[in-house]
Amino acid sequence: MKASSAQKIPRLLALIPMLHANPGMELKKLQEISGYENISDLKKDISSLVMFGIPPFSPADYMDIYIENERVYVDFPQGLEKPLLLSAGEWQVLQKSIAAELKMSDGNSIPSDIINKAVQKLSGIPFALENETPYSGRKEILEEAMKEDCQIEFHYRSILSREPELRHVDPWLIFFHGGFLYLIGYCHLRKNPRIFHVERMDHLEIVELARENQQPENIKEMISSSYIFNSDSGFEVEIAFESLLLRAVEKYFHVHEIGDYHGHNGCFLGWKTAKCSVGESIWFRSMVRSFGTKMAILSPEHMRKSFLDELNELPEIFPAGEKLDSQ
Amino acid sequence: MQDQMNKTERLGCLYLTFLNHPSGISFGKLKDLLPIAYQGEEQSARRKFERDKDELKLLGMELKCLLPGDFRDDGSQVQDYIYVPAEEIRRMPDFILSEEEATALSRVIFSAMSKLSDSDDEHLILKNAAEKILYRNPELYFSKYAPERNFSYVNGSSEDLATIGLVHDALSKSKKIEFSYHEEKRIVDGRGLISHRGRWCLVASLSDSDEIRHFYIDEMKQFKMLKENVKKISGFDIRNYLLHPLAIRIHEFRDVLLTVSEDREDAVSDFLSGLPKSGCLKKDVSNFSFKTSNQEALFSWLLRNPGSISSIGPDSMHADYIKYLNEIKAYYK
Repeated sequence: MKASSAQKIPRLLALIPMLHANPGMELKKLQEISGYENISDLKKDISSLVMFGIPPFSPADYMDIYIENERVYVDFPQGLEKPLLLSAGEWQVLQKSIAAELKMSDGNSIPSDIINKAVQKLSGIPFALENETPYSGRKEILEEAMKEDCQIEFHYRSILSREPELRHVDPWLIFFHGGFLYLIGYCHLRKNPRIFHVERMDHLEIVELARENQQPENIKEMISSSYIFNSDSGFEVEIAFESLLLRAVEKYFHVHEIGDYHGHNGCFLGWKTAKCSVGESIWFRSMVRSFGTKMAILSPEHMRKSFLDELNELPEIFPAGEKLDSQ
Repeated sequence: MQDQMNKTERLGCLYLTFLNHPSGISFGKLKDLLPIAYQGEEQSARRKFERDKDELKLLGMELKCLLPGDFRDDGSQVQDYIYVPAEEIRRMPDFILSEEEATALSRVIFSAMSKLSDSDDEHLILKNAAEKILYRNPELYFSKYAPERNFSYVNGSSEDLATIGLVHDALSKSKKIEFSYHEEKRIVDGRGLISHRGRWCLVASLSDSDEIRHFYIDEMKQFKMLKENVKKISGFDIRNYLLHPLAIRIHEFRDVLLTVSEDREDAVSDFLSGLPKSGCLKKDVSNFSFKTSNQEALFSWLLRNPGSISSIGPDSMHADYIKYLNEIKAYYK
């Protein structure tokens, strides 16, 4: 079905700045960019542009566009020398795409400072892209290791182990989720793929040894089936939280019911409640802990008990200047 | 000599005419300028123009009518019934992207497009954005090395669309902004935009105090760009206002001294890196001294990273940390 005038004109006019900035663009390239299926339709529509002009329609007031040797030229763009400003929708989708790109890396990521500079030029106003979380030092080391196809070693504090363990890993991919940075790679100690919290790595170093195990083809399935993304199976936990956290709760947890708090604890007046599906209880409790005084587990009782036990087992922090002998 | 225009030509000429006459044109003037387009009786010509206006709206150029005595957006007063573009037509700023920058943006855009179907609205939006952004670099169109990515973590909200556009507009025109934020009316001087964890954030000075604050755009309501210009400030660098958790303005800045536990310096260094200019002063190998305006962010980090520090000062900060911990424990008793 042929496109109407309303559909064709914006498509054609949007190309004028590009044609003006790149005189002699190949017709084939223009066809690829414009999405015309048929090059003869494209030629016909380009030819119709010569009738576009502005009053008083002297010869210089018409768009001068022509095809020569299968190349396109625009001499008088009639006000379309530059593209129009990015619309609100275009900004939003661009920002979303940039954020998605920066959330995952296998060593070939785009440096965020380059994107920052580019977007600042486009927008003409002060603009900055934030790192997702303050892990920039360790993230850089991981990206370097993956880029150079090297192993890494680090001391790792898992939630279960009291003492850090030395791990040698073939790093495959790093990704952000829920405000945390994760690494997936092959762990030589466990002789299996593992997902690590980058926040719990200490003394991270690149080892001058080539990775022995390359990224598997099913890495996406491995990540998506992990507890991080797959906590909609498991058991139900009810939490109470300050209402300002609603967006964060919906983003980071598998929520299936949200309501207002109607209980008797005066500390939670005006708070919301949410029922969440939890697949990995230790991870869930660490997430709740990260929200501090703004969130609490209401049920089940075993989760509340475990949460309190973990708080009571935290190493003591002393006032500055107090002698370490008192520990 | 041409004695009539077909519809495509007429719409194209009308579009270019208004593009080049942003201050507006009356219908009478339009008839003089485009006699072949609007021939015949006045009423018939007007009806044709009204239909053309509807078509122009589909082209992305909505026209509005200003009455004698009305004011244009630039403050000038109108003497006659005129038609102007409803939204100011603005072009991209003059920019030249380096090869690295153009390649980076190309990769971002086409990587995102590769995950969408052609019929998806976002696919078309990205395509339009690519044409504008890469208009000097068509060789980067359809970047072939965009890696395949099947994860999409960012939750976008279509409700933010209009507000982001308005904020951007106000910033580029250096106009004051009024909005409701957490049920409080605010008038601010916008200074820049930060993209933080997938959300837009406006960095702005408060009109009544010059203090710099951050406002999430998706939490703004009743947004309005005002006619007044912002107060100029010199030396503003948005990198000094990045949203490091410890620098979010919850309270006045407070001093902090941390003693790092053995072997945990990497983790603490990493956490404190990225603090803005107010920054972090390292006293010696195991002590860090800095200022924070969000001590709860520090306490939250300590809970997630137990054993990272052995002591915290000054005494008031330590007391607040203990109080924070006890408050949480009380929820479970």
